[in-house]
Amino acid sequence: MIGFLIRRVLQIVPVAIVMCAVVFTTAFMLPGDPTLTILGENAPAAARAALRAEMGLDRPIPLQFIDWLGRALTGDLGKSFKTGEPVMDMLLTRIPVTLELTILAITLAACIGVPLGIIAALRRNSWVDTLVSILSISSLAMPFFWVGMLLIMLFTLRLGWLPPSGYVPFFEDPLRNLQLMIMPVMTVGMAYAALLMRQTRAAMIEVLLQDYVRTARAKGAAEPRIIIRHALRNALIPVITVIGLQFGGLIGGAVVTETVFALPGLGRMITNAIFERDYMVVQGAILVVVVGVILVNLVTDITYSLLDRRVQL
Amino acid sequence: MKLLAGACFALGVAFALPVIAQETPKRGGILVQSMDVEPASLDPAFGNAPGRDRTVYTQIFENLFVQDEKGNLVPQLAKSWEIAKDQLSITFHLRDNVVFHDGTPLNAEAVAFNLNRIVDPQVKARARQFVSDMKSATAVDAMTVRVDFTRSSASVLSGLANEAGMISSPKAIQALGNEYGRKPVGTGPFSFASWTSGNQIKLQKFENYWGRDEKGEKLPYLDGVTNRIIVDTASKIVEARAGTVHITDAIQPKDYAQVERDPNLTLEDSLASNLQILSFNLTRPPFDDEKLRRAFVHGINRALIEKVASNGQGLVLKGLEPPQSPIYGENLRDYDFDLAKAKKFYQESGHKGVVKLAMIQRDPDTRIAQIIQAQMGAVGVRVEIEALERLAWGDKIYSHNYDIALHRMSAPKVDPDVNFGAYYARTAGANHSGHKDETIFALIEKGRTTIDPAARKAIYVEFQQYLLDHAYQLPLTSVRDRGIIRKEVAGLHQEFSGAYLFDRAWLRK
Repeated sequence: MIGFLIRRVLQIVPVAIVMCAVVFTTAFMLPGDPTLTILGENAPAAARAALRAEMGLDRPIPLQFIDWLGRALTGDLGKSFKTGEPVMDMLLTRIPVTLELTILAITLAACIGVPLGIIAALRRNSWVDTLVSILSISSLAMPFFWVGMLLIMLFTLRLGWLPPSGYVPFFEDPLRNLQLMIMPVMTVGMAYAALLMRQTRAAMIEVLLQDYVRTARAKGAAEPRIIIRHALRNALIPVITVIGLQFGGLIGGAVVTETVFALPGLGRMITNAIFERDYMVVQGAILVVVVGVILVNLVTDITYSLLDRRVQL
Repeated sequence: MKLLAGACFALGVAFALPVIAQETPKRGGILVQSMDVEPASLDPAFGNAPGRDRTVYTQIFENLFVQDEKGNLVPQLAKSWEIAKDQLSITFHLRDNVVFHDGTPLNAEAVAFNLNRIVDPQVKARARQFVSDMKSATAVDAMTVRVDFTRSSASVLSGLANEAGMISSPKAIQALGNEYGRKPVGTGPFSFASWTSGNQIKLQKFENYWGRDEKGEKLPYLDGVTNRIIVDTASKIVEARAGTVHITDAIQPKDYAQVERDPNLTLEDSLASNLQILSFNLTRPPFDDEKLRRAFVHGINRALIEKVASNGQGLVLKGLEPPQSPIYGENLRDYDFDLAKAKKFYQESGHKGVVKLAMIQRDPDTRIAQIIQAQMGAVGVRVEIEALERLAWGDKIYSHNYDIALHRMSAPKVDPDVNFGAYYARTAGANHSGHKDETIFALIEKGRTTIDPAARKAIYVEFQQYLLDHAYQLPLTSVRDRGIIRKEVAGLHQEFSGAYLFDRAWLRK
C-alpha cells in the first residue's frame, strides 16, 4: 500500500509535465495575439510588437515552456498577462469555489442517485423503476444552463427564497455562501444523480443475480443485510469509478454552471484565459486540474481496495 | 477657459434619471452595479477598455476637470484654470484640503507626478495615446500646476478629463510598483476595499472625501459600492429583478420587453450606441476594386438587417456616428439598396469566386452575416462565412488577411478622436480596412488639432462623407445601449463617458 502510494504520487510529476507541455504548445498554436487583450484593440501595431518582444512571446515555444517549467517548479506560476495578478493568487481564490461546488454536487448526487438506483434495481420492471428511469433520463437530457435558469425562476423570482447568483467565501459569511451554492449544486448534482442512479441500478441488478447473493438468502440472512453487505458493497465499485470520473471532470468543467450563477470558479477562469490567450493563467490552471484529476483517481483506487479486499494495491 | 471648454462637444441628450429633487437623501446601504467586462487594471493609466473601465474608475479617482453629461468641462480637483494665449499650456489652481485615500494630501507635486508619469515613454501607460499632445506638467507652487502641450489640440482636453488625467496617490504608486493596478488609491468618494478576479470589486465610503451636498453635508451618502462581474445577460436581468443588483450595463434588445413589464425596474438609455460596420480589405484584391465594393454597398438591404439584428430598436447607420453624437452628419449621402445597380457593378468588377466574410461568433453578428450571405447571393456573389473566436478574428483583421469583415464600434466616445484616431489615423492600431488614403489621414489630423467645435464637426462630417464616397466601409446599423436601473436608486448623475457617478447616489430602501 505504501509503495503503491509513493509510486502513484511520483507518477504525478511526469504526467503533469507532459500534459502541461501539450497544453502549452496547443495554446500557442491558436491564432490570436495576447497583446490585443492586454493593450486593447485600438493600440498601435508597433506597441503590440514591442510588448510581444518584451514579454518574450516571440521566442521559440520550447524555450518559453522550459522557462515556465523552471519557475513553476519553484512555485512561481507567473502572472496573468491581462491583469498582472499572480496566477497562484488567482488559483487560491478559485480553487475553493470549484472544490465546494464539486464536493457538494457529488455528495448530493450520491445521496439521491445511489438510493434511487438501489430501489429501482430491487423493484425492477415495476412502475417505481419506470418512474425513476424517466426522471433520470429527463434530468440527464436537460442542459445545465436551462436547469439553472429554471431554478432561478422558481426559487428567486417566484418564491424569493434564494439570491440568484454570485459568490461569497464560506469563511466570510457561511450562511450566505450556502444560500448562493444551493442552486448551482442542485443544477450539477441532479444531472449527476441521474448518472449515478443508472449506474447503481445496473450494477445492483447484476450483483443481485450472483450466486453468493442467492447463498446468502438461502442461509436465511435478513434482506437489508443482503442488500447492503453483500450486494451494494460489490455493486459500488463501478459507481465509485463514475463518481471519480465526474469529480475529475467537474474540477475544470463546470463552466456553464459557473457562468449562469456568476461563480468565480476554475472552469470560467480557464475558459476566459483561453479566449484571452492569457497563457500563464491557462498553464497554472491546467496544472491544478491535472494534479487534481490524478489525486482523485488515486483516492478512487484506494476506495476500491477498501471495498474489495481482493484488490491489491 | 470658455474657448477650450467649448472645444469638447456637447451632447443634446435628455436623461430620464430617477432623481426626485424634493426627497431627502438617506444615508447608508451598498449599491451594487453589474458589469460584463472586468477591468484589466484599476490603475487608470493601464486600463484597456476606454470608457467602460470608467464605470469603476470614477468611483475611486478624480480628474482636474471632467466632462459633464453634455460634454462641457467642469471643475473637479481644480477650482479653476487659465489657458495661455498661445493655447500651448493651461495653469490649474487646485482645490484645497483634498486628501488621497491613504491620507497623503493632494498638491501640485502629486498632480505633476501623475501627468508626467502618463507621458513618460518608460512607463508605457496605455492611456498615453489619449494625451499624446501633452508635453509635461510642472508644479508652479504648492497648489498650482502648469500643463504644457506640444501643439494646440482639442482631443488632449478630453484626454485629461478622462482616464489619462485621473490622479493617483504618488506615494501608493511608488510603494506598490506593479501591484498598484490591483490596489488603487485616489481621491474619489469611494476607496478600494477588495477585488476578487472574475467575481467583484468592492469599494467603501471614503470618510474624508472633500465633496459636500447642497446643504453642506458630507458626501457620499452610500456606505459602499460593489461592482459585480456578470457576463451572462439573463443572469444580469434576474439579479436586477431580484433586487440584488441595482444597476446593470447594457442588455440586449430582445430583453427590453420583460424589463419594461417589471414595476421595480427602469430601462435607461446610455449615451453610447453600438454600431455594426462591414469593412472591405482594401490592401489586396479583390476588394481594392471599388466596383466590387459598390456591388456590396448597394446589394445589402440594411433596413432588413436592422429589423432582424435589433428587433426594430435601432436604425440604419448613415455614417460612423449615431444621431445623438455631436458630429453626426444629418446630410450624409449614403447608399440606396438597389439590386439592379449591385448586379451591374458586380458584372463590371469581373469578380468570380468566393468572398470570405470574417466575423466574431456572437449575437447578432451571426444573424447579420447570414443576411449578408443571402442578399449577396441574390446579386450573384457567393459569400462564405468564417465564424471566428475574438482573438482569432483580430489576428486576421489586423494582419489584413481577410476579404470582408464584420465589426463593432461603440460611439460617440468622449472625444471623436478616441475612435477616429484609433481606427483611421496614420498611426491607427485598428485600421480595419487598411486604407492608406492621405486625404483621410489629413482630415483626422486636422480634426484633432482644430479647436472650434463647429469647424471640427465639419471636418469629421467631411471625413465620413469621403469614406462613404469611396465605399471603404459599409456602416450597417446602430442600436442605443440600454441598461437597467432599479427604481430605489436615487441621486445618480452621468458623465460624458456614460459612467454613472455615485457621489450623490442613495438608496430609497
